[in-house]
Amino acid sequence: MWSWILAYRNLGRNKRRSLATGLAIGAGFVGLLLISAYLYRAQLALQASTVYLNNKGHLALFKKDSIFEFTYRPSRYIITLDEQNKIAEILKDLDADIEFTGRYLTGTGLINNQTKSTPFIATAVEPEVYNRTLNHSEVNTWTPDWVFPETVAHAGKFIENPKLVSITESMAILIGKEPPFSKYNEDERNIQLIGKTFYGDLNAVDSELGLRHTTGMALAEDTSLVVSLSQLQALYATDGIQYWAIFLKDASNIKRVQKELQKKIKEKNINIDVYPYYDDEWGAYYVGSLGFLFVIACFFVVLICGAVVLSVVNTTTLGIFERHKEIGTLRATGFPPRAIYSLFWKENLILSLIALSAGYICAEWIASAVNAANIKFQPPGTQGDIRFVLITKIQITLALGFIVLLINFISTMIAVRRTTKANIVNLLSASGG
Amino acid sequence: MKTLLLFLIATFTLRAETALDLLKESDRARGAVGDGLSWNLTIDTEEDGEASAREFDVKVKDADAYVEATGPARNKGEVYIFNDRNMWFYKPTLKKPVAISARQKLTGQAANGDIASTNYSRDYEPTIEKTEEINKEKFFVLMLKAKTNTLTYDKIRYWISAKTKLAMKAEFLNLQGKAFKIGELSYKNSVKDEGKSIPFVSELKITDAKFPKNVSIIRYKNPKAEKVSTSIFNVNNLSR
Amino acid sequence: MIVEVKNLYKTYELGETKIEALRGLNLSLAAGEFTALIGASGSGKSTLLNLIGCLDRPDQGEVVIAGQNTSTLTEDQLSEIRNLRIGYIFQAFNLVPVLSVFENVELPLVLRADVTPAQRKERVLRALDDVGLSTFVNHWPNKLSGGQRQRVAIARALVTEPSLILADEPTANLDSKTAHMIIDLLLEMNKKRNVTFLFCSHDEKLINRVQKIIRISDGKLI
Repeated sequence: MWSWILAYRNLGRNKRRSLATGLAIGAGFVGLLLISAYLYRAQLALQASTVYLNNKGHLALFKKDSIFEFTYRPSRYIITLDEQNKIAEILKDLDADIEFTGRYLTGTGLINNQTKSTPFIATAVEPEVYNRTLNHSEVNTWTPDWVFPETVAHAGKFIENPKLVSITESMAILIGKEPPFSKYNEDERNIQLIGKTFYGDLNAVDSELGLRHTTGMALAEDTSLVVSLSQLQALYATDGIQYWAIFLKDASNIKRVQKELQKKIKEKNINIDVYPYYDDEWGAYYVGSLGFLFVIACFFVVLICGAVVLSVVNTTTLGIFERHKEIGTLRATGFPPRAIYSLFWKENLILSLIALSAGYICAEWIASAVNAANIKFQPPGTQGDIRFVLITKIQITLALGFIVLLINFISTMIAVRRTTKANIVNLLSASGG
Repeated sequence: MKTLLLFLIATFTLRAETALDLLKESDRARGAVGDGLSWNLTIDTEEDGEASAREFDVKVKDADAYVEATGPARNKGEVYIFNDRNMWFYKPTLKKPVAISARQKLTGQAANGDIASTNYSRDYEPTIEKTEEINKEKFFVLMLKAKTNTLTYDKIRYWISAKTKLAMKAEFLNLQGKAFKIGELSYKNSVKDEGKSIPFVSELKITDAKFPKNVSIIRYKNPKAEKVSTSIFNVNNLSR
Repeated sequence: MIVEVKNLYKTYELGETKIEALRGLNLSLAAGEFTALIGASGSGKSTLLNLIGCLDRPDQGEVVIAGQNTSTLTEDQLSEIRNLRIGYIFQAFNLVPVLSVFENVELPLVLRADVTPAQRKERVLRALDDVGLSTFVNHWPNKLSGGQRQRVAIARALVTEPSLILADEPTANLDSKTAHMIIDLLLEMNKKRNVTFLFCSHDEKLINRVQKIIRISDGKLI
């Protein structure tokens, strides 16, 4: 107990220096918390966007080796109707883990309104699934500003009219039909989708403009089109699909469900691979974005930790210089080197705990203020603004606090080490306290 | 000097005329004749180890063409209409026809523009590049440059027999002047034009210049001159 | 013998110069002896005191404290010897400014697992009583006079009930009246507790009252 009392009182010997060091630790902690809050929110938003808005599901079933090859040889890598039936049987066994599933097809072609045409990259969705993904609670919680409210509100229209297409504002301008589409009569809303069937023949289907969406990515806005699965299958003259997405009740079960699926697929002898949304190939945007954010965050974390380390080492070293004689006296009266380590470490620990507490309160306040300010920004490469939101998590806070304490401990050891090895006589004969 | 200049201009003009004449003559054997023509078409394709076949009925008159798919069953009822240099695609499930490009791939190595009649003299600017002797037969090698960018090919190197005035070989060139497809023609058919029997194309073999195993053979069957009603070429008649 | 010093050598390096502070010194101190170590500046008296106090290690020779040869002990073992067997009184008092009088005196005892808190309290109060500062228990060192501070230091040195107390110029920073008081106190503690005292001093008043004088010159006893 005495050592804690001594440590606490030693902090008051130079209040200004203790305050400065405390501020450095506290500010560093605030920085770490805010970075983690941004990263946490970004990760959850990217996850919700990737899984639900980008229709990847938590897991996706593909024909073997087809993730990249499907675009060039769709007929070879399509999941046939027969294979779909086998998969459906397998998925029934995993009902307890699965919230819902969706079948998807993608492809290219031209959208034509009789006067203008422009290329499209279509995602074909099952209307009920589309409605479900857009209205999912994860989307509402983490990415409400990444999707137009009208897209969500009208998501069920595909169910009513499977011939509808959803296009972006950019594409609408390209074909000369700026939204809202309700201002056009039925004839004016009619458009055609033109493409090549999987047999290589030219084909076209009639469709109707009705819905608007955004991809969130500037590069994709000119070509993105969402259409019902039956429409695109009719265009490509197929009953096959490109992949089958699985949406789990609990995302933490991904690995287990993936393993079970792979096992059952192997038993059924179907040539299918299972990919999680965070796979490098399947979830490249998610992995890449998160990786980029992580690298940037690490850079700042290293900077912050470096500043904290230097601050603690500096303060502790100064304190040691001033207390050489006192340290010598303690050693002379029988205090072993580890007791000296302990004394300084406890001093820095008390200071850190106070600084961390203040830092935590400060960070929470800043996060609340930022969230209340409703700041919007447009990240590079995205379409439209997104809200800048910070979300703290207690486990992350505790982990970061532990890291700061660990850094503090190591810094103290670095500063004190030399003194504990110093000759007691030299310590006693030093000037100062 | 003036005389020399006049002589040169005359020579080139003569050569240009000769090139155009050659082209016009060869066009007759590829459908640019009379008041109307019809024939049956089959296209057999071998591409990346996979074989496929298409069948069409073709009716042409002047710059218009009406092409109806007759096989395989999945394509039956599909119609391609050529109005001058505009192309349309239609099938019964569509409310309206769709504007398409002559350059788009129809099947295998054949583009949409390959299945109608060929009127290169109307669509291309010809010049004689050189003459060549192949199997003891003299050929004029013409360079054809497209007059508009809506045509099937930008440039064609065209071998026309000096004797028969029939085009026997074509190299279809990209903008850089490199051949990407090679066509070989045969004329075992004949049609009546103004009472006279003239040769008519029986086969056009188109080979991928980079991957010679990818081939499409267009076979022309039962060509005959007939009066063709202009209403079938009216795109508006196709709408539901 | 409480202290036995055998053939002690100690050399210091000052830049390129080597200074032989002790050259083959031998010494013995019995229990209860009140001994002064005198010599000119640079004679090696502080060096000898430091080596006996296990604050430094000799280059050659042995220092035996209460029968234990300290030359081969580890740093932790030496710390234990210093805590159990030796008390120190410094010229500049060396009190910890953020600890009260009671806490300063208690300091050496906090390391002792064999001493209960109650026993610690009792010994501290007894030591403070011995030095006449029992009413200054909660005072802070910066509120004390020089003499009072030195008495606190003496109490701190005594509280562990050591076999040996070492003092390096204990009265150098005190006025003559206070110095006299401190000397009386040291003598009293020597008699009362039978603690061996060894100190360096130039103070004639102190030297005149010791039982034994050891003279040192150029690193050797004379």
